[in-house]
Amino acid sequence: MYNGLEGFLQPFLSLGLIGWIAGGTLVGLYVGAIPGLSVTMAVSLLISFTFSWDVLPSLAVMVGIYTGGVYGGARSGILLNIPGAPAAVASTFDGYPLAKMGMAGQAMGLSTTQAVIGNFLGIIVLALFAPLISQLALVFQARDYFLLAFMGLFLVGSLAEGSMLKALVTAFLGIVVGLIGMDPETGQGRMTFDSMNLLGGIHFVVIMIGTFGISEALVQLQTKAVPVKQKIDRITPEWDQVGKNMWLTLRASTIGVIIGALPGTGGDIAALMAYDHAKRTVKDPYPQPFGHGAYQGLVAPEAAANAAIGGAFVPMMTLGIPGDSVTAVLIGALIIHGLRPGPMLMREQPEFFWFVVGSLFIANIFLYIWGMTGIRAFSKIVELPKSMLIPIIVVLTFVGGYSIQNSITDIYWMIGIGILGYFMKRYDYPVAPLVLGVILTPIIDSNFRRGVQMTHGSATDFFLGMVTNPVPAVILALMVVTAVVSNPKAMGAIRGLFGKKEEA
Amino acid sequence: MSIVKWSKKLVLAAGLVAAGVAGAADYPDHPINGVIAWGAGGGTDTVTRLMTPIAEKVLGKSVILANKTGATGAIATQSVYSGKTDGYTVLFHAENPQLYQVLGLSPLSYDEFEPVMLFVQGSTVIVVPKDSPLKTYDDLIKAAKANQGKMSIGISGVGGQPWVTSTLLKKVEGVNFNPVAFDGDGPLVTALLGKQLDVSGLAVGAAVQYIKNGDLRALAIMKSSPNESIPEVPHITKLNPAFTDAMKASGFFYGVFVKKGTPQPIIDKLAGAYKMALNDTKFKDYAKMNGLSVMGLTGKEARTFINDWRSQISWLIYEAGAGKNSPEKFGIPKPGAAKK
Repeated sequence: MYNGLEGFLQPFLSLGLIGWIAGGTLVGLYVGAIPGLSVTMAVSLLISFTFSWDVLPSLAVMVGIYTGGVYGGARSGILLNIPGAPAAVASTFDGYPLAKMGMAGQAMGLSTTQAVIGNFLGIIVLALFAPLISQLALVFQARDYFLLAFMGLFLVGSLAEGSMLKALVTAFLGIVVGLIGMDPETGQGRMTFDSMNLLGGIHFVVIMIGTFGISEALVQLQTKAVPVKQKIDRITPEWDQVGKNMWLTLRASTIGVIIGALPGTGGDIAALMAYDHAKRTVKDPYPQPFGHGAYQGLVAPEAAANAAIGGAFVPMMTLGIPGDSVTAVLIGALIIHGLRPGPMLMREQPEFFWFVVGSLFIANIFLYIWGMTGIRAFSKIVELPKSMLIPIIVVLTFVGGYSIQNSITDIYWMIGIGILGYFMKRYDYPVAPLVLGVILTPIIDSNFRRGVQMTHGSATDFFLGMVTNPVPAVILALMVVTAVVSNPKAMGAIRGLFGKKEEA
Repeated sequence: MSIVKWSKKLVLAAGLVAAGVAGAADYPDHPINGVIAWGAGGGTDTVTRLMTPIAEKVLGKSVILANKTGATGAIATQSVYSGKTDGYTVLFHAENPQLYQVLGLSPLSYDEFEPVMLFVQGSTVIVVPKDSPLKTYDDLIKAAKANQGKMSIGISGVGGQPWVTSTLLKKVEGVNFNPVAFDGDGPLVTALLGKQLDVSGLAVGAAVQYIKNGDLRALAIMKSSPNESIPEVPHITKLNPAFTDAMKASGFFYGVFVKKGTPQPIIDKLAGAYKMALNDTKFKDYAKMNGLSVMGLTGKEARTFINDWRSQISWLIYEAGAGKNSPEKFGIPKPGAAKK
């Protein structure tokens, strides 16, 4: 494991490599901030671009883009309520309300600090515990993914603002939309009405951009509110807040690393789960309640989404299995350069693993620099008059929507879903459960069926396996504890059992 | 019809032909759109992105690559089919369109396209986890016969190579497995390393490092000859000659295609450019490392291969009861019957 440690220093010793990492991080930040322009896309474009390069500089620039891109997604989420990437959906819940209060600067400052800390923790786990964590990726079975994604549905409760019924309705709609397309097993169309365009399903990023981007532009058109003057005298976060929430940051980062390291889940689910965790465990959100501008509501998803990067590299480097879509493209890029990540590379060229760790480390330093220096300029975006801001939002969403799959049909879906999203917002139906349903449904669907196939078609054995095996038993226990702890009545009953009187 | 009208039509037709030839002569005079039917990081994508920079140099214009994913590439296939026959929209794809009809995914197949070139052919290797009691192919067949339908085999959807492997074993050896569907080679490797599966077929490229590292044990290669990445693994026709017919058009392939009706000079020009890319050392190294055999088939040879492949797999799917439509409906001949 500690062979080839000299590889860690390699990127530090070359100004050229540092330059590529710094440049990659900067570009990644802006690519990530534009909804629909994804890190996966940027990295795959780079494959052709860096074709004739040496492997180290091309890897350095890709690591930079990855690090910057995950972080950049939160920028547009905080400023415009449009997440730049699925991993930033959860950052909009409290980030945007903070910006509306004129605290966009602090929100971005806090998101930067949390991203850097989360990222750093992810890198440490990658460096020290990679073999251990990769074992977890191997013992995780279909049944466990099913349970994990099912637990993700608990989030609907956290996302309901007011009416639980309304949240359930939109979540259900998301589940139905998530099922559209080819059956993952038989290849037959489901709810496709014999249309080729529906056979591929509706891409969840298209739904995300529609519900958040287009609908936000429509809402903005209707409201008369003038842009909030941003207080940009203070962009560094209140350090005591960073300190106070450190325990939450640590917990969220742990969620991020583990979910990121599992090959079947990524940063988007990690961030949403971390938000849910924060909302259930933090009793005194500051300065406002959750959903109205709580620092904790930004701390948790930002730390988790960025910690997931280090996590995603774990199975990629140790097992040669991608931890998410970006690492999948990275593996492709390295193969082009004649290197195939995995157990063989770890044994024969261990310094390569440490080179990746070192590059991530440098990228994280530049993340802080670029993140902090860009805040003032970014804050101005929210102060733009609507006549400028709305066209910018619309152009960005169209560019992003088209570029996901280079499909014009996606633009139509995006507009349609955007209009639906507008009416949902107008009548106080939360839009986030819809996106959540679309993200989680394919995981639940395919893993349920895979799990039942594993038990030779017996659903009874499938469910029994959940209590007779350690991994699913732990997840089940977590689900029960979460449900009980976040329910005041249940907690009251438990306190009653132990004979303690609840204070009035 | 009067002679004047006839001659007018002739002149018009001649004009059109001339225009076509002129278009072909300075092809390409602007950038070409390359549609990749599979996602970033996959085999089709990697091969395409590796070869295209070299082909671009020969063509003198850029090829703008875009991944258009979904429905096992049927969406990309449809979009190139809806385009023009001027050679400015080309399709980078794998074997999948040859199964769309039988699986009921799309009415299209490569009959509506011209194969510019088939780049490489990949093959499948049968693997088991490292501490599996199954040491050889014979062990596997014996164990499977003793536990009909009990052993779990990994597949990646109907018509995919692991599925083909499992179905061929059933057809030739008469053994049934319990198929479990995963999302491709990566998840299949994960499940094998985690000992969640008893056996699976994997693309040689995806499996080779685990075989060499001792994490997985290779029992047989589904091919009529050994693979140079793992020469020590026996090929299936050596183990059981009954597989000979089924191995005539085996494995999977990647290639570049244009819509039918594209002028031949344009196809030739594209083929010439990609031929250069195929001969590049970097590409050859890549192919070797990933267990892919370089094909470079064009024109009639390419057509024969893709049609044989379709006959083989379509009938296999249909006879296994997994297809939506009979291959007969589309005039796909039974394997062996095609060559007359």
